[in-house]
Amino acid sequence: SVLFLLDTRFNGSQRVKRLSGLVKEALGQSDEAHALYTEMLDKDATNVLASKRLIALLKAQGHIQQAIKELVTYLDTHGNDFEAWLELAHLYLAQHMYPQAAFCLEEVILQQPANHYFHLHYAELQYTMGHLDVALKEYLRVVELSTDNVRGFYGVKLTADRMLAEAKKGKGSGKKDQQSSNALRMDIVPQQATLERLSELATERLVSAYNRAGESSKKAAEKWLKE
Amino acid sequence: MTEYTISLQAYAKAVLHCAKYPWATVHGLLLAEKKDGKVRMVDAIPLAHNWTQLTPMFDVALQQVQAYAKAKGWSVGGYYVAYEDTEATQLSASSALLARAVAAAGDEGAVAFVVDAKKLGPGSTQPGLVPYLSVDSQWKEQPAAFSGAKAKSGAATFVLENNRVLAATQKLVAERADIDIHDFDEHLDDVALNWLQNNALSERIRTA
Repeated sequence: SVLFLLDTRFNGSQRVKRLSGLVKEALGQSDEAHALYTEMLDKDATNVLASKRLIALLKAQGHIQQAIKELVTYLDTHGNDFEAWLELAHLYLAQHMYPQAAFCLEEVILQQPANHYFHLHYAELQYTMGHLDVALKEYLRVVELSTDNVRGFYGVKLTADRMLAEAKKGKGSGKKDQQSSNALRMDIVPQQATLERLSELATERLVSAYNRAGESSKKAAEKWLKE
Repeated sequence: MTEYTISLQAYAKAVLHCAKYPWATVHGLLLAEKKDGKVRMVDAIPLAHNWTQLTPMFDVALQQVQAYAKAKGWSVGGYYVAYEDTEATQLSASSALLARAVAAAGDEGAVAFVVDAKKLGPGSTQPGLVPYLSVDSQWKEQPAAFSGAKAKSGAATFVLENNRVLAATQKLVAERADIDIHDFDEHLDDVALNWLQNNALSERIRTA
């Protein structure tokens, strides 16, 4: 076989070993592949490519918690690998560990602050966690970095309007509603006037963007914007 | 004792959404028409293939679909999800929460479907959908769905619109009709894409 020829010609080669690991994985020989990668890492614990193959194997097998453990170990040494932090964020999301996923996305943003995509990802996660104030800030960063970003402006309007609604509810009840202000973190709530202007800005930019949309999408968006 | 019928439009669009993004978890909504106590899923609206656990754009889309359905005399009747892991046919915890939001946006009797990828192959004679109904605030898998077996009294029944649905859908997948389906994620990148109706695709499905 080709692998045998390669192994003979390039005996002890890391690349041949990894290739043979990939072949084993493709053939469903997960235990053998696992043993091979572990052996490579025993010889050299800093072998980046073998680490990543091992983590990928664990993920493919559905052993997410083990994959997380290995990836955390990897990141202890290689903390400047933002793609690895992104992968870890996704593994945490798969386990519904939202705060941990957020921490990982923060590391990604620290290393890639000008990329609007990561701010967008972070904003959506923060919204999901109920942190509207942080979500709003991050959505605003998205539209700052990416002009007239439709998803970004939808996020600005959604969060600003919800914060305005929460503030109204708080006023109506007459006393500080401790429960609701814990459920949605309103620590750094912008002024009502600011929120209203942000909502108007988002509406205006969305209406402008939707001018090039088809009939049904445009109608649906405009209806949503009015409510 | 509700009878649920899945139309060709609804089934084909959901499957084509999966076919377009086979490596990802995808999800979407189903529109229902109710008549004489029977429910017919008339159409599917694909929502997302990325960040499917994250809720903001899901909230926006659900609100728009709710208004769209109402204008057509329909309601938001269901939710479908196809997991990245093709072995997973159980409704996950986070999917259950999204399905609950969908149920709240419609009338009662909303259905959550998990796509069973193993039944989507070219020769399959079984629909690749596992239905869940809400019972005592829990989503319960419906046994013997689509089997045509006489349902125990009180149980819901699920049927495809006719015996052409599976073959027509398999043909569309083979013809790569998935190129014509656009979900809300894609629409957010390009608002010119018609995610609510996917007209060109609807026509292609109608004549399949």
